[in-house]
Amino acid sequence: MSEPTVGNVSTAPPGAVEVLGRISAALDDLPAHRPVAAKVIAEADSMKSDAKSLGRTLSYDPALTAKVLRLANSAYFGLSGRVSQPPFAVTVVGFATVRSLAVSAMAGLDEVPEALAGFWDRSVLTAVAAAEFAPRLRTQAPDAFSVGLLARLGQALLVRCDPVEYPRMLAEAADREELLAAENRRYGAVHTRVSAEALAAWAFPDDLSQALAQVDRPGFSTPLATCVRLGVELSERILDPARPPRSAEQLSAGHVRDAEVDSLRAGVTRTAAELVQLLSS
Amino acid sequence: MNSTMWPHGRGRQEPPWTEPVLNEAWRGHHFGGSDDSTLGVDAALLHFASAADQPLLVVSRPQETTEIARVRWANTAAADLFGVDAHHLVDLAVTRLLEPQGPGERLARERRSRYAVDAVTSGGDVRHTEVVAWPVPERAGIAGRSEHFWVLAIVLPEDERAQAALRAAEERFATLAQSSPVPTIVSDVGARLSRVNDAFAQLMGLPAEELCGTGWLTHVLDDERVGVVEGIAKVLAGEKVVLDTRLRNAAGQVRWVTVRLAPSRTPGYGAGFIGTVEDVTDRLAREHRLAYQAQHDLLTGLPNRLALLERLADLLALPGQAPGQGENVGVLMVDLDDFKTVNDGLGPEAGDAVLVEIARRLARTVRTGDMVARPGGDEFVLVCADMADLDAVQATARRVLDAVLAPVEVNGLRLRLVASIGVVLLDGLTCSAEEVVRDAGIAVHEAKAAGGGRWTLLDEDVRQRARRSLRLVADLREALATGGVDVHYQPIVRPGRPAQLLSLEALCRWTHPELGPIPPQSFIELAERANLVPALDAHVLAVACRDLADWRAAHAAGELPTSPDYVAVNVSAVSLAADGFAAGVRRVMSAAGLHPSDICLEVTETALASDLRACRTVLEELRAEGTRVAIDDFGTGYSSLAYLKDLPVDHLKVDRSFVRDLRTDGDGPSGGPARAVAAAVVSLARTLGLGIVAEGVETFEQDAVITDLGCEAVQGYLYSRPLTRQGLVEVLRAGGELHPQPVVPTPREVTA
Repeated sequence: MSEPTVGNVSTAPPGAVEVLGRISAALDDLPAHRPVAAKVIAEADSMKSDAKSLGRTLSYDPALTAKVLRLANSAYFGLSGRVSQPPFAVTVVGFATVRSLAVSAMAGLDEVPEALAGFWDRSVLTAVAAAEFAPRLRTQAPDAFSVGLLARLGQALLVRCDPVEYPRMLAEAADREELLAAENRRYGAVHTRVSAEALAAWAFPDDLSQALAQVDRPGFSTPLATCVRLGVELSERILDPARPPRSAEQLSAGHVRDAEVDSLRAGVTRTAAELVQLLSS
Repeated sequence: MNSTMWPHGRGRQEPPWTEPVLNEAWRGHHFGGSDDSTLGVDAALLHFASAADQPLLVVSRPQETTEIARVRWANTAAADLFGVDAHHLVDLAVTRLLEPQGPGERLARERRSRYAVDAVTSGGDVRHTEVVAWPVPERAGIAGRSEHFWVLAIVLPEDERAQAALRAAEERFATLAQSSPVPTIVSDVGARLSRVNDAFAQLMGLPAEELCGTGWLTHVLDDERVGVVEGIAKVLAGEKVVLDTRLRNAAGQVRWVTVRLAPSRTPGYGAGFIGTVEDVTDRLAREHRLAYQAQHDLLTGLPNRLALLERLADLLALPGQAPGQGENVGVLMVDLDDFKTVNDGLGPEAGDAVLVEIARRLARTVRTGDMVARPGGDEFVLVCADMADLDAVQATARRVLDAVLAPVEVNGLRLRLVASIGVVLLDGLTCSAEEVVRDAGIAVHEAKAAGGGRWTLLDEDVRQRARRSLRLVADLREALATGGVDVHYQPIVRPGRPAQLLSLEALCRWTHPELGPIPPQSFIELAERANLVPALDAHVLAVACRDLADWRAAHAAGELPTSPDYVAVNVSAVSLAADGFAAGVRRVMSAAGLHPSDICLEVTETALASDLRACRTVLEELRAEGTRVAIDDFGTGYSSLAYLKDLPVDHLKVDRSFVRDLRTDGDGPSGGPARAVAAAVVSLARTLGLGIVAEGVETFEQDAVITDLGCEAVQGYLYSRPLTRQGLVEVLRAGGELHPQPVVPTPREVTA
C-alpha cells in the first residue's frame, strides 16, 4: 500500500477520480437526507449537550431511536428490558455509540445493500472485539466500540458511488488483504481510509477519524487505532477461518499476543450475535 | 489528516456545513472595502489577533505546489513562545518551528485540522503541544489568491500544564482507587464496568478482567440481580443509590454486601457511575448471632421463652383470620416427670444431654410451621396448628409421650423418661401469652397429680380445680403461719383390757374456715405441691413438744397421774434432707425443756429409701443424742433388708395393710398368709433388736393375732382415734387407760 505523498496532485488512478468525486459529493449530500442523524452527530461531541437534549434530538428520527433503544436493552449493556426512554438509552449506550449509529444511518446502512451482506456481522464483531482490547491498550472501551462499528463504513460509500465495480471487487477478493490490495489499485486508497475521511467530513473528533485512517496504514498508530486493528483481525479470523491470520504481535507492536486474541473468540462471537440481531432488524 | 486524496480538492466554495455561523460572518464581510465600518472591523480583528494570549501564526504556500508552508505573520505571543521577534519568524518554514509528529504536514484546505507538534524555540527547547489549523476559504478579490492561507493557533503550553495537571489528578485518583482497601468499581457504558480495583477483585476471588464489562453481574445472586440492575438504572439517571445485595465469589461463598453508587458524568461523553462495595457479611452474621441468642435457648437451639411468648402473642392477636392462622392452635406444655432424678443422679452434663435429645425428638413430632420451644428448666412447649378436635390433640399428645418414652442413652445408660403434658387450645381465647403459658402449666400439674405420663386438656373444670387448689394452698400457708393448723394425738398402747398408753403419734389437722375439716390426705398433698411440708413438720413438732412439756409439767406437779413416754412426729424426707434440720429439732426440744428421748421421728420406709444417705446421716446424728427413730409404714417401701440392719432405727411400725388381713378363724391363729408375713416382720424386728408397733388395729381379731405374735405396742381405732388435746388430757387423767372398742363406721368426712 503506497502512502499518498504530500501535495495537491492526486495519486489516484484515473478511473477512480470519478468515484472519489462522487464520494466527496455524497459526504456533503447524505447529511441532508438524514438531517436528524446529522444533528445527533454534531451534538454528540458538544460539551453543552447532555443525555436529555441528545435523546430529544434523537427522538425525531424514529428508526434511529428504535435502534438505539434496542441496543440499550441488549444483554451487552446489562440493563435488559429496563430502557424505555430515548434519553436513558443514550445514557446506557454512551454518546460515542449513538454517534456511530447515526453515522451508519446517514450512510444509508438502514438497508444493507446485497453486496454488503454480512456488513453488520463484521462490524459488530469488530466493535465488540475492539472494546475487549481497550483495557489492555489503556484506551476507552466505548470509543473502541464506536469506531470499530464504523470501520467498514467506507465500503457502504464505495458501493453507493461505484455500484458496478466495487461489488465485483468484493465478490472476487478471497480475503480482506486481497480486497485492500484491489482497493488500492483502483482508488489509491483503502476503504478504512474512506471511512476516516467520512468521519472527518462529518465533524467527528479528530482522534477518532485519525484512528480509522491508521488502521490499515503501517507505522505509528494510536492505541485506539491498534484496538480497531486487532478488532478487525479477530473479526476476520472468526468469519474467515480459511484466511491466513496476521500476527497480533506485529499489528499491536508487541502489546498483544496471538494467544490472547484467540482466547477472546468464543466470548466475542457470543456477545456479537445478540447485538447483530438487534442492529440489523 | 492529509486530504490530498480528493482530486483538485473538494472544490466547494462553502466551508464545512457544521460551521454555519462562521460562514455567515465570512460571507457578509466585504474585504478591501474602504468604508469606516469595514476598515474598523478589519483593524479590530487584526489587533485582537496580535494581542491575543494564544500564539498565532499566519502561514501560506503557493497553490499547486508541494512546498512547505511558510510563516507570513506572527503575533506577540508566538514571538514570545519561540523566543524571537515576530518579524524574525516571517518566511521561516512552518515545520522548522512546529515539527509535526508523524509524516507530512497536516494542513487541510477544506476544514480545520488539529495535530500534535513539537514546538522548537530559539533556545533549543522542545515543547510538546498541539496546533489547530484554520484554512482561509478562497474568495475572489482577496490578495494572495495565488496562495493558500491558514491561521495556525498553537495550544498554549499553559493549557498543556492544565491538561497535565488534570491527567496527574486522574492518575492519582486511579492510584488511590486501585490501592484502596474498599472495593471500588468504575463504569464504562450502561452497566458495564471499565475498571475494578484490587480490593474488589480480591473480594470476588477473580482477576479484574473477568469482572469488567458485564462479567460482574453474573456473580450477583440470581434473586438479587433485578434489584441491582434497577439500582444501576437509577444511578445512570443521576441519583445516588445505596443497596444491600448478595454476591457469590469464586469459591462459591455468598457474601452480603452494601453497594454505594454515585453518578459521574463526562460532558460530551455520557453518564456513568462510580461505586464502592462493602462486604458486610461478618457484621450481619454478628448481628444475627446476637438476635439469635436473644431468641433461642443455647443448649438445644430451640426458641426460648421470649420467642415463645412472641409467637403466642401473634397468634392470639389474629382472631377470626383466614383459616390456618390462629385457628385450631393448641399449646402443649411438656414436663419431664423425673428429670430432677437424672440431673441429681447423673450430673448436669447428663441432664443437658437428655434435654438435647428430647428437644431433637420433639422437633420431629411437629409439622413445619409449628414451634417447639424451651422456656426453661425441663419444660418444652409445642405450639401446633391443626388441633381441630380432640382426636388431633390426642394424636399429637400420644406422639409426644411416645417420643419421650423411647429410651434415651446417656453415659452408657438407657434411661426411660416419662412426660406429663398440659394442653391449652387457643380457640377464642382472649388472654395474654403469659396467661396461656400459665394455664398450660396448670394443666401439666393436673396431669402430674393424676399420676404423670399422661396428658390433660385444660378445660373449665380443670381450671376451676386448679384455681381452688391455688386458693387452698394460699389458705394453708396462712393457716400455718397463724397457727390455724392443729395437732391431734393418737395413743400408742400396750394391748390389754384395759390397754395402757405408752406414747403418742402427733397428727396434723386443719379446719378450713369455709370448707370445714380438710382430709389430711388432701392437705398434705397440697402441702407437698406447695413445698410447705417442712414448715408443716416443723409446726407439728413445735406444738407436740410444747404439749408434751405441758403434760410433763402437770404430771410433775401432780395434776396428771401419768404422761406419755414420748411423742412421735412424722417427718418427710424433704424435711430431713434440708439444711439445719437437726439443729432445728434440738432447738425446739430444748425450748420446750424436753429430753431428746421424748421425741420420736417417724420416717416412712419409702421416704427413707428415696434419699437414704441424707436421711441416714441426720437420723444417726439425732439418734446418737437420744432421739428415737421409727420406720413408718414398714413393708410398703423398697428398702433392701440389707440396709435395715444398718439403719439408725428404734422400732418399726407395721403398715396397716398387713394388719388388715389378719384372721383368727379359718386357718386358725397360727395359719394364713397374712399372719405369716406379720410373723416374719415381728421376728425380723426382734432379731434386729427393734421394737415394733402395729398400726391400724381395728378389730378384736386383729388385736388377738398381733398380740399373739408378740407385738408389744399397737395403734388403731380399736383403742382410740386421734384425740384433741383435751381428749388426750382426759385419757391421761384416767391414768392412761384405754378400753378397746370395735370400730363403728363413721360418716366419711367432707372432702374439700
